[in-house]
Amino acid sequence: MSMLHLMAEPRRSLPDVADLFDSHGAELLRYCTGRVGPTVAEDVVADTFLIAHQRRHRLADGPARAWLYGIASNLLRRHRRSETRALRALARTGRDLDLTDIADGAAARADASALTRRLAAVLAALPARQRDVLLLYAVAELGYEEIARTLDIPLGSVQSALHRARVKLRAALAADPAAHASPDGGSR
Amino acid sequence: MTDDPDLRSVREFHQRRPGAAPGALDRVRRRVQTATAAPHAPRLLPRWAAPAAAAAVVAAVVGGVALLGAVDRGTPQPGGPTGVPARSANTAPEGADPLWLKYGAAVPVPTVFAQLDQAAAGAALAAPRPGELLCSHATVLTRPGPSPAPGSAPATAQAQVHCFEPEGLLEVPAPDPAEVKGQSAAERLAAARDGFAAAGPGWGYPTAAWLATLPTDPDLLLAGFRAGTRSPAEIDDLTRWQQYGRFLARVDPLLPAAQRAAFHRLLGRLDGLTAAEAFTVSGKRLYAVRLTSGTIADELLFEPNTGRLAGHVELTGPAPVNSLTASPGPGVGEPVPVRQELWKYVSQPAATWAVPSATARR
Repeated sequence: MSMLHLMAEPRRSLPDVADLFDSHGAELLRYCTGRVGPTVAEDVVADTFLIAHQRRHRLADGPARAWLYGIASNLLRRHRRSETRALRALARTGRDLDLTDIADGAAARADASALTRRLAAVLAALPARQRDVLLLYAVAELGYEEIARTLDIPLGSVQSALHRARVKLRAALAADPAAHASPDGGSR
Repeated sequence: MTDDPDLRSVREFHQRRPGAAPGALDRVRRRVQTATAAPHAPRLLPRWAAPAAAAAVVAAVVGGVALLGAVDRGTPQPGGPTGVPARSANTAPEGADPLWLKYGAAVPVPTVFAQLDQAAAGAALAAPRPGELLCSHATVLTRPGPSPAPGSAPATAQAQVHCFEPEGLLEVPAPDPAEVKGQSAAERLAAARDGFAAAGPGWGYPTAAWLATLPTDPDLLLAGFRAGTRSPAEIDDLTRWQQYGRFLARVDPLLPAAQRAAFHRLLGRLDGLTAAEAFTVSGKRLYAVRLTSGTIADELLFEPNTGRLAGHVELTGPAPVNSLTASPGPGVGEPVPVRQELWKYVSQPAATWAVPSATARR
């Protein structure tokens, strides 16, 4: 859907979005920050709730939490390249990239563990849908059906994408047996 | 939820990524509350001059002044005395980033559009030559919240470069030697070309030839715009303003003067417009046409000498504002710019898009 189409949603009389934000804002901000960094995440989450406010008449179709993740996932797609670039940078250098943070631009960041770098490489290499499904399942802890509704794809596609992503993930982890013994992957 | 080691690793990996900035949740809450409190429809925060597909930050700069200097080569000085109330300078506190525009004299909106139309009619479009890309060089300044105060987080400046194939305005991804399986830059471009080939020129894939066929009658143009963007007939003026601005920003380098004038007519029909001179940090003079809706204000910046679009500013404010008539004192009742973009399109050989110096201006 193009930006123009997104802007074309008709106006409706809507209730306050404050309750939705209070219930899910912090969680969504954490999720989006982990994907696209703190600066972009603020924009994405703000847009998510504005769209939610605009389309709140659709809320009856399902639980609010999954619905909000769906909106956020759509918005995150616009930042796919920068997300992938940051993951690649993390995989390559062991440092998280935050090009937009000028105040802290020179601040050194602790090196990531080998496991973290490997996971970053795996996530960077995943096709977009597989990455979305994996993160919604593992991080947002949505169920198959919720993810299917969230991403507007068939249930079978969710299962297939998750299976493929996990195969790659397990292969990467298998290369680092210590990861299984110590899932926290060490300190950053 | 399953707690298999692989999923747990992903979850923990995610938790170790950089966390939200201090105060981020409150900033976002304030932005949402501000936007949804507006009397018109809630706005979607736009990302101007970026393709819908994916906006990539090509380079980030600390010294945005350098790029502003490259983009803006004007010499006039800001804020000359005039007989009309001046839009107060942006309300950033003393010591705030000087890269924000300084506003000068108010100008009647019809006068602005008339001058822009005249300028555009007299300025030939520089069509890219075969083998050239259209590249937008943008300087983006953002402020983390609408209520800056001394000691608050500094404004953030970014330089962004996006290059497009002139036919269909397909974004050419920045060259990246580290290919992702199945997602190389070349393959992404090929997919975009396939989409263009399937759909043909239109609102989704504008071309210079197609833009030249757009109606110059504003009513016909509006009908086409609604149909092409699947936009409902009834829509609030702020949203319509943003739609027009987004489209103009995309097609600006290819848009003929007559069609540009028709879009100006459509813009001029919207309620809540004011206009003023605005000056960049290098002193370049622009016209800032602002639509105010409740506590939200949205500006398009135009080049007086060419009639072309030069940038965009998002503002949020504490109270309904009509600065050009009320003439409040600086910082009183004025919306605060939270995002400012200045951009310029240039044609450049496609081969230079692969050269680092062309993609990372530092």
